[in-house]
Amino acid sequence: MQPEQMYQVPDNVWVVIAAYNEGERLAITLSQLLPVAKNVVVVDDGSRDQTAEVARRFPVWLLRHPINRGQGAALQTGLDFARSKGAEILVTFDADNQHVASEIPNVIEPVRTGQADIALGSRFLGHTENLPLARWLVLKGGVLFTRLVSRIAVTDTHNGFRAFSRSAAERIRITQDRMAHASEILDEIRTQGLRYVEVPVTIRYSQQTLEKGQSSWNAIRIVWQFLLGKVIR
Amino acid sequence: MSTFQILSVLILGTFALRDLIGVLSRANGRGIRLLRLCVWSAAITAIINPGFPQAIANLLGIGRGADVVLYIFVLAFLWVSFFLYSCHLRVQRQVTQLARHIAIQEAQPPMIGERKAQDQ
Repeated sequence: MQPEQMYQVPDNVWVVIAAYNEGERLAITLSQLLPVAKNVVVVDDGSRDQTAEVARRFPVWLLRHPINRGQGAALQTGLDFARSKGAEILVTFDADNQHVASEIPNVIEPVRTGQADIALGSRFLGHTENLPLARWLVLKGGVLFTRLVSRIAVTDTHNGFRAFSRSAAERIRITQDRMAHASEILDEIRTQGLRYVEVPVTIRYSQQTLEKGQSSWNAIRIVWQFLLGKVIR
Repeated sequence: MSTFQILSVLILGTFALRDLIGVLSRANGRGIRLLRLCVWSAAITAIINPGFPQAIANLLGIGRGADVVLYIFVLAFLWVSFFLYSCHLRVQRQVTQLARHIAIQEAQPPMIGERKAQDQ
């Protein structure tokens, strides 16, 4: 009989991945993730490539949006599903191999010990590889914007590597379907009075992720969507 | 009154009457009906008495009556744009909820034995 596999994080930790046309990189991400966490949910956000087929090759839960709804929408779908399965700690993790799976134990630690309701990964406290100057400027602009508008002092506003306690995941509702969800989560942390800490993490930029990822100009649209979303309920 | 004025007043009067009935009948959306009633009434007044916009312009210190009409149109355009965007956003959120419901209902569990295959 084969012994039960040991994972780096407990079984009540669920990792949620929103994936849109990530067929090429998702396999690498899942290969690195599965020795760390047992429970992984991939939300295929209406991809037109082989993302779902790639996910099916791995022992993960696969949810599929019939049409593309955006990263924020996909994350909320994954979080809802993980909660319905009894998750006590919920981790959001990017599909494009930018994050380092072995850092998950560090990220969940403040939530696991009850020190915080939410742990936010920060590349500026941690380490970045191949971060372009234009992206650095946009990210720093995002930090300033968040401090002014949401009045929350974080060092990295658009980092997809986070950990939520179950109660925090219940209280935060992502209504920003697209990229403005990251700002919305920070805004919700302040308005809901949730305890948070930032944890140093590594972000690896590659030519592929930069080509597929958000344009720096898209920051203007994110600001616009976030502000309108605050007004329109 | 010219033919244009008579026709315009008849059309706008019909709209105004419909909204007046809506306001008096305590139907839903009384606020928006009342707002529309004000718009129709102002338009009818301006058509019957072309000096009305000029009087408003003098009152506001704008200068020309045509400018008052232009400014009102600009503000109305912004308001309508915002209103339509709000409707669009709410529909988008409903579509997302629907997509989420389908995704969760049709969740595919991990394949039995796949993990062992990955480990080997």
